[in-house]
Amino acid sequence: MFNKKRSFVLLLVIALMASLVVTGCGNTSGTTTVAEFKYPEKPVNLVVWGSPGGGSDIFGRTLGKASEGLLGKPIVVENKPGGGGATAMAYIAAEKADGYTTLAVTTNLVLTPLTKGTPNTFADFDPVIMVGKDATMTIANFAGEFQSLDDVIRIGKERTLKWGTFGIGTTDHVAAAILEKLTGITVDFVPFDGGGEAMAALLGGHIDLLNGNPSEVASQIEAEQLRGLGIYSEERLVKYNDVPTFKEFGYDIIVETWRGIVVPKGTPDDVKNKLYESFKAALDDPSMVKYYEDNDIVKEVMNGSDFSNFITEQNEFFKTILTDMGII
Amino acid sequence: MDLGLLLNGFVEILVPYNIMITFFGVLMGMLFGALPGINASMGVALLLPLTYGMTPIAGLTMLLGIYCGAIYGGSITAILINTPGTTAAACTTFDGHKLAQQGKAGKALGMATISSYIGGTFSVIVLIVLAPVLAKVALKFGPPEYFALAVFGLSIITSLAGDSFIKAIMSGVFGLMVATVGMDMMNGTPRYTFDQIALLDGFSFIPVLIGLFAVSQVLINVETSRSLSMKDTKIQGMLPSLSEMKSVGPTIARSSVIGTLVGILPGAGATIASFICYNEGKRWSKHPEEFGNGSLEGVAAPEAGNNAATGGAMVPLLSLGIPGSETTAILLGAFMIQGISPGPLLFRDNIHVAYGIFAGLLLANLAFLIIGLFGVKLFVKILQIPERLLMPLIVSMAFVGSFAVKNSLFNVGIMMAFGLIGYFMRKLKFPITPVVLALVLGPMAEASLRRALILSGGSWMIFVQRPITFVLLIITVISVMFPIIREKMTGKKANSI
Amino acid sequence: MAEKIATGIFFVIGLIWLVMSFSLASNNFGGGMGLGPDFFPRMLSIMMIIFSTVHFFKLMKSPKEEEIKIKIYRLSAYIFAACVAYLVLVSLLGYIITTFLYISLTVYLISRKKSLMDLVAALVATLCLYGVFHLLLHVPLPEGFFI
Repeated sequence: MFNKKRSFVLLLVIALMASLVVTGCGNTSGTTTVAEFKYPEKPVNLVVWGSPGGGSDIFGRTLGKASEGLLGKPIVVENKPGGGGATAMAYIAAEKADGYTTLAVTTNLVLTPLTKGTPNTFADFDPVIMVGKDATMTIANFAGEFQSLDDVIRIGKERTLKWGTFGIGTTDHVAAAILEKLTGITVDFVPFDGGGEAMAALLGGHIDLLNGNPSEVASQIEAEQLRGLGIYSEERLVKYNDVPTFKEFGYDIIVETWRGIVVPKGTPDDVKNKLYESFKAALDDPSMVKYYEDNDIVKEVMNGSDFSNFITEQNEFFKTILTDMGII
Repeated sequence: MDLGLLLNGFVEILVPYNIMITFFGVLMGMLFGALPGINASMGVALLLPLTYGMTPIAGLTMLLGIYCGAIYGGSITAILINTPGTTAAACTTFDGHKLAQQGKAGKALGMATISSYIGGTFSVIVLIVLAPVLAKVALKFGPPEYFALAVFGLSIITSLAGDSFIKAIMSGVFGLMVATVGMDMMNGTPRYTFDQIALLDGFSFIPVLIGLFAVSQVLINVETSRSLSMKDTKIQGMLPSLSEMKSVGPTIARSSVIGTLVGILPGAGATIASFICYNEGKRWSKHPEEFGNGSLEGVAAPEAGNNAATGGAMVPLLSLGIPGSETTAILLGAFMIQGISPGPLLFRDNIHVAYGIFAGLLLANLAFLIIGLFGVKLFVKILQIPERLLMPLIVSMAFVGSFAVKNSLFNVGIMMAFGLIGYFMRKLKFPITPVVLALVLGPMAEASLRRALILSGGSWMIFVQRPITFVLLIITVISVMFPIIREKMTGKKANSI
Repeated sequence: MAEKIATGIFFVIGLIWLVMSFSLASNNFGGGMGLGPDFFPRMLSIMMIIFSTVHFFKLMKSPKEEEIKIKIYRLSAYIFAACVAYLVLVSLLGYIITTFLYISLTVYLISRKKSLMDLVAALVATLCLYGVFHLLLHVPLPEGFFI
């Protein structure tokens, strides 16, 4: 009995010591002299706020892989889903500003804090680079009563339109709300939870219209089941050349989902520059070019400070609209 | 459907590499499905990167193998340790575990395997032959129809009542209340989140499920002398006999049809299918009193149903390009990565891939049948692990499962909390399955109701005006009232309210 | 008695839900069409209050012998405490150490025998869990300061 107790304790002590040794061996990075710029010395984390297999996850992984070349170290994608990005933002804001944790962001960076009132806002982060934009497009059933934007406006003045959205205060929702305000059509919004059901409702004729990302409906458009009516961007998309912009109709509504990378506030400039260069170069990599093509993302690059100004503008823009809509 | 193309699909699939990949996927899927907390969607997501270098047919079939294998695999742990590996296997615990306790684990596992195979294969055949037609049917379901379906599903709570009708209702209402926690999907305001960011998305139902089932089970088990471990008992009869199979034939057939139909609806999947099939199985059975006491029918019904839903779920995915569930959404992503757009153009541009996938699905179902039947002896060995080690192992797996959903220890805390709740509920004979059912169907019921009313402009008449909705609601009312009326008529003393 | 307490707890939860439902908006933003976020919780809480009240009265009327008696065994309390400790310590001590400690402790609690074989089994189990989940399946595991 005594022997067994001893062995138990001994085993425990050995286990603890072993783990201490292992942990100790893990942290050999030692000191970095201030003069030399040695970033990155270990893999860099790219946090995405979607679940594995989802859109932002695949975006992060593709971009991460393509950036490793110039960066010099692997990029490890970490998933922190939840709360439309709130969980990831809270996590990143608390991380060290040493350049080893980065966050892939979209317009939700400003939308989520505004609509959900999370403690973290865009101001807690330093933008590094903007890499692209997804367009928002109004879609209707191909054989339905909406053949063009004129129909939407005409019918929208005669009766209430049932407009599906993918959430509350999301880019597609905001775009439609602005349209409603500018044109005087009456709209009842029907919020859905994500893509599948909204799309099914549109195809089944249960709702009239939907705003979506063109790539999500590419095959339905080609198969002539759905029709694109208008794009909320400055210019027409190359792939959907026959779909006019709302601007052409006289409604200057620009609502796009932009994508970029941010880091915790206070990250040193030289680190941010290195990240900027690496991600920028990645965009020319064939894998990224193909990804952009497949997903109808328009490449647009902004550096840290331009992006920062842009984000601030967008925040003001959405804040005004969302207040107007009664969401905040 | 083109027989020639189908044969061609088989030719493509039946090369050694593809066969191996399919079996690998199915095996991994079974593993994911069996482990409580890791489910099909997580499995597909985790192994997705492996498919990047593969040909479309190989990669997609592997992922589909994971999907089918996982839905089947949940039954293994459901039967052996009374903890469903996936929510779709929750109903399998009722009779499956009872059978295991009676020493008939082998029969239960065999029945689960065979029913899952028949259900799955049936749904794939239906997929191949009727996909376009079924897609149209699926589109007829709008918010009012989904509401009616959800209500029908929730009415099943009454048949999970066991001894007390009112306790089952209380459990169900409790589950529905738990489901209201989170950000409101129509208004964006947080409800009952007590200012916790982690609760903005509501309670993830994996931690709740595992807590209620697994953790509470462990706590209960250490108290009773009846243990999960069957170290000392003999295990009788490895597989169901031919006559046993014949007697469950109608049940399997019925469940296959129902499961496939439920599966084609985006938003309704294997879990809902398994509940509905269990309920219908009980309703139409010649021996309904055996349900819950170790009836092989009670295993066959939900298992055939949940695997039938897998083929059904492929209908909207392949025909319309619409993902119906988390898992199919990831599969959609996998298709896109392979450069293939599921949807109406699939049959125009990539018809060989489509038929290759059909063949692959049939192969995947066959794969888990083979692995399952041969593996029965091995699975049953799990019960040989001594109780004192099995209990902490279950909790450890539950721990990982709850954590892995969102990389969050908060969820593990949720699991513990619900483990405690489940413990007390079980002791006080409040059924815990209604909580799970409510958590799955509650959001769908509420969201569909509110959307339906927006569509109708506020008029409640919409539920009467739309035929499918009306019919479903009538069926619900009848199915709830029927047993009550029957009891009153036969003069039997009804269970008190 | 225990069942009465549980029913009472359900009643209280229903009450809390009901009270909190009044601080929720009664219409959807922008359009105001349809039911607000308060409808469902309110309806559910009212149902809960009704059912728990009815059940409580039924319990009052039923004879003492029919009552469900529950006894909380000390063992399950300890086991649950071990689980909670597991949760709390894992971010400190790391997955492998904490899991090993947890399994060893629980095995001991259940068997009441100090056994080297059990410790070895616990170690093997921990390594298997780590191997299967982390290495084989690439499932994320909690991280702590140690391994």
